[in-house]
Amino acid sequence: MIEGKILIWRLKYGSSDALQRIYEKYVAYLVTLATALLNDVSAAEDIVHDVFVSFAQSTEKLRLEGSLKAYLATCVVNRVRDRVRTRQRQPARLDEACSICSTANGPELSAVCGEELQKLSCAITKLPYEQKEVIILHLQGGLMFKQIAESQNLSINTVQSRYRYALDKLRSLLNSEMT
Amino acid sequence: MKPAEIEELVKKLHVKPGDEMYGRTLTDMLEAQKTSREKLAARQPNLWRFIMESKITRYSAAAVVTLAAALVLLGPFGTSKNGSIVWAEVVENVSQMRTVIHKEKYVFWDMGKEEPFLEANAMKLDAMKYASEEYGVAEDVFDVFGDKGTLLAQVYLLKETQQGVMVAPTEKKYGKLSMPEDIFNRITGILTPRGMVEYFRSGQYTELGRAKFDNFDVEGFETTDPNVLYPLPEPLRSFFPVNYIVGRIWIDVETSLPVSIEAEFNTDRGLFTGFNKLHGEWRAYDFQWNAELPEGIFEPNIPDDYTEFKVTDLIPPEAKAGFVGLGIIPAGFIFWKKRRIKRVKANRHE
Repeated sequence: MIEGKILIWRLKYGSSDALQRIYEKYVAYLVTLATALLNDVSAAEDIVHDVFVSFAQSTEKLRLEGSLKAYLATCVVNRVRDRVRTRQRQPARLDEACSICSTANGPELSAVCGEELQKLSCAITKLPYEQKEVIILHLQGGLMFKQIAESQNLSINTVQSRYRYALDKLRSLLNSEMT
Repeated sequence: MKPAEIEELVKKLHVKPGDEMYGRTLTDMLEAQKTSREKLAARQPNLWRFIMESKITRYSAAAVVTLAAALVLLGPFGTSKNGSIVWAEVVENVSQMRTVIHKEKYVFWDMGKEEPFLEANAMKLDAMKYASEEYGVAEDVFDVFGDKGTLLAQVYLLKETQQGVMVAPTEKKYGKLSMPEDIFNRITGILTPRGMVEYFRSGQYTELGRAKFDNFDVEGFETTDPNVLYPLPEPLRSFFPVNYIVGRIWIDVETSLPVSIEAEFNTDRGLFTGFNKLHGEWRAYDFQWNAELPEGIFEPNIPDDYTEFKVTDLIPPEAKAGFVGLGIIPAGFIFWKKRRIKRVKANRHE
């Protein structure tokens, strides 16, 4: 967190090194987060691209209260939510299902995605978006329930309930596939 | 599968960004940062322009230069013998003088705009300074550009009341500042004959040799050490960050008294430079030692319709907005507040 604050401080004074350092540090984390929420690597990469470009344009105005990681994660989630809302107004695409591990993204991804992970990513796509967001932000994003609640303007109880429902549903989906 | 196993599995999800996306985002992001910086620089108020536009702020900035130059120029010379000039004699002669009247000129302009004779690019002021061991210092400052010869400000350092007074006829404003004895003595000490003597006593210099100067046979001495020439503490130094300075003094061979004192300096960007890099030149000359001072010269004349100004009046509103944007005011305020809280806490624990 302190390193994040130092990077932000340097960034405010126009350091492009600091910006590059922030990018290198968080890009994979944010792409994973966005991909887990959207099940679409290309769309996730577009979102992360836009978040970083927008971040670079607004560093002088930035007033960071929490951690830089949580801030960037929130930026990604807000854009993902907009994308999801737009998608909900469009007819569903058949090829989107279970795309987190099936989207071609080079040999690294294939290696990471074992059978279990593939099943998990398929199960995650079946969660309601609100529950998916909580479970991904908490487990993948490393955000605390309190941080998630603040970023989404929800009570901490609501966030915890969504998390429990999501976990129950994942367990039920994964166990039914195994039997 | 147990919930804990599912949690561990979710944590294992990992997507490596594609090489194309990685490179493109990095390029676009750095370009966006550069463009944003350029736009911001274009929007940022030019504080130097604001300072230049207000005559009284011009003088305030100039006063900083003069004070720095006074500190600078009277500091670096020792008491040893140099050529035909015996410094002990100079010290002795100057310390005998109870009054001095001299003229000053200063001009400074943005580096890179080397046209100091155009009003738009430079500030040019003339001043007449009166110093008395008994009463203090008075200075009349005239604007060389604009309404040529306009009296821009009268500045007084009055020994009797230990006050600094500034009257600005063009603005119809005045200001008074009482000072602690030690600070008052330090400031007036620099500007009076006795103060000069104090400063003549230490420092390094190089000899410039003999010259003819305003019909005087003189010997010159020069110093370029910024630590000696610009002995201000770091926080003040950053307001007017002089990075190069050369000071020269010319002593009349016949009388062993200064005939001219001059300085040239370059600055980095600072608050009192309007965040521009400046080049400045200052010269004190035409010394009249032990001269009879004009009657009433140490009695400030403040007409009834003049209003008192505060330090913040020196900063135009647009420039104040600029300072807040740059975080200068809040940073200082927070520092002061934190120290205050710390002090209160410490007192409670005692």
